[in-house]
Amino acid sequence: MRGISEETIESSSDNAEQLYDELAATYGLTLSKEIIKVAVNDKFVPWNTVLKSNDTIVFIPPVAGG
Amino acid sequence: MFTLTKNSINVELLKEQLYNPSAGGFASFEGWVRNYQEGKAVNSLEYEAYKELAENEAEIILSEAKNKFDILNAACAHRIGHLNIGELAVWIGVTSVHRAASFKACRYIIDEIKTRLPIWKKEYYADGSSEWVNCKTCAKHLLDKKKQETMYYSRQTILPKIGMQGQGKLKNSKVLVVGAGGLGCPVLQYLGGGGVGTIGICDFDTLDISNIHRQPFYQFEDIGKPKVELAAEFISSINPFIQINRHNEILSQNNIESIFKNYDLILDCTDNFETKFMINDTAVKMKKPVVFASIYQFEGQLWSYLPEYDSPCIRCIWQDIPQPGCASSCTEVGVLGSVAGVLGTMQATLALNYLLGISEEYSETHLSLIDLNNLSIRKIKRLQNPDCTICGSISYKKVTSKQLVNNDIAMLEIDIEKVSSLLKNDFEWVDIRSETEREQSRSFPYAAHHISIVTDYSILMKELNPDKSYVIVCQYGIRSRYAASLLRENGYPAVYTLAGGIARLNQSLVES
Repeated sequence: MRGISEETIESSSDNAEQLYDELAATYGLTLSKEIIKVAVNDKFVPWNTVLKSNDTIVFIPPVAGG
Repeated sequence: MFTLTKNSINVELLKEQLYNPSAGGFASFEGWVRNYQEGKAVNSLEYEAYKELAENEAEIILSEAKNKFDILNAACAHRIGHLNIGELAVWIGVTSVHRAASFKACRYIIDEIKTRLPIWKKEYYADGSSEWVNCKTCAKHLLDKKKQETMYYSRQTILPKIGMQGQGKLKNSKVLVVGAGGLGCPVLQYLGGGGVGTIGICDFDTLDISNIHRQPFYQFEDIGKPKVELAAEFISSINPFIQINRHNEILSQNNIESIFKNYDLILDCTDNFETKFMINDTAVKMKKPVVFASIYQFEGQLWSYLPEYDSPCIRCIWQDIPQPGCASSCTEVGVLGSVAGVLGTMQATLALNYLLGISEEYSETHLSLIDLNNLSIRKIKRLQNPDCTICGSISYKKVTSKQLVNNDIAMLEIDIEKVSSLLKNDFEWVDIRSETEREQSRSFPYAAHHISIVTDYSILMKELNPDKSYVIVCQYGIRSRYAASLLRENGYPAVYTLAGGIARLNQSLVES
């Protein structure tokens, strides 16, 4: 979404939704949360999932190219 | 035009007979008498033929060549009787508008003539001996078909997980590949080469110059031809032991079930959400397994819907069809050819694993995210959503309004012929392609209001007047259909979408 595939960050966000909002504000991400899905430690989870230290979070947009 | 002659072949006369003012190419093949055969010095040859049968069979071969290749005419002459070293034994000439077809047809004719014609030759050797040799045995195609087929698959049947038994499973499988593009080419290549016994190819498009960089079946000379035909021809040429079904049509609610019912597995190689979701919904309804793949710039996603393993469907994750353009297609944001190649190859491998019964658990339940910029693969566990409107325990009947969009297409879509009669010039064209798309791809021949849409369709509501009539256009009519349905929902009763988009419009202009 912003040209890099992964990075390690320190964040004060409590849950996945807050983290996305934080990243969206920092990097100007445009895709809405209604479209994106979130996975924590390789499992799809709801947006309100509480994050722990050392969690791996992936934001997944739908993709249709072929 | 075939001649069997005792006299030397008159090449000039044959060429004259083939002459056609619209021919831009002529290719010929000459077979000469050679001075050795399998290490033995040969002094001369004698040909003998079963004349009537040879003539009939040769005419059949020539008409096959005319049907298979885009040629104008073909001729062949074969000598019988005694021939000396260096003499012309067989001559083939082909004319065509463009050169490639001549070359291919010429090659086809000589290969078939060598194996199918009842012509025998007697070789007179330097040591004074002589021997009758059937031309069939000269050709390298001496193995019978069954044996050839076994050898063809020998490199993969050695694999302990496959063996002859696994090969048999593949041969009995029927797989439909939807989309013969960036993903479809590698998928078809490896399912075809792998020996899937029946392969259906479904695609409605013709070859465009911008396809070729990532779709290795296709060549410049084929631009404008139906991709289904080109792909089928390619697959047949790499594996003659399988059956190819051609579905040269756009997949829609009208034909999807009648096409799906003939296959055991579906591969989604399409490039738009609408078709992917339609494939998903129909597969759930008909309990057909599907392997999906999608690409985006340097990344791709892979997942399967396998009903016998209760795997989640697309809508368990994405409930509604994302609007076209929210994460754009290759047309809009570009794709590196090799990314399509890798993802298609992985998709084919997943499909073969499934057909062989050697899939691992993750393929049933996980979404794989592949990033080819850093060579990472991340497998994300998916869970069935009990509230899923399509596959959830609540049953298929609960259909949301967005899924009904397809049923209203007839009201929304309009053909170019109907535009003038129905709307009587009292309308405006709206081209929603991006600036780059407009510059780089097919041009739109009418004056249009340009509203470039990247992700935000609501801009249409700001720019357009609900009291006016509009026909929305985009490249293939998919984004414009979404735009038109959105406008209709928001109080624009006289909005239509051009069916098949600018691609189909240009095609019909070329044809007329």
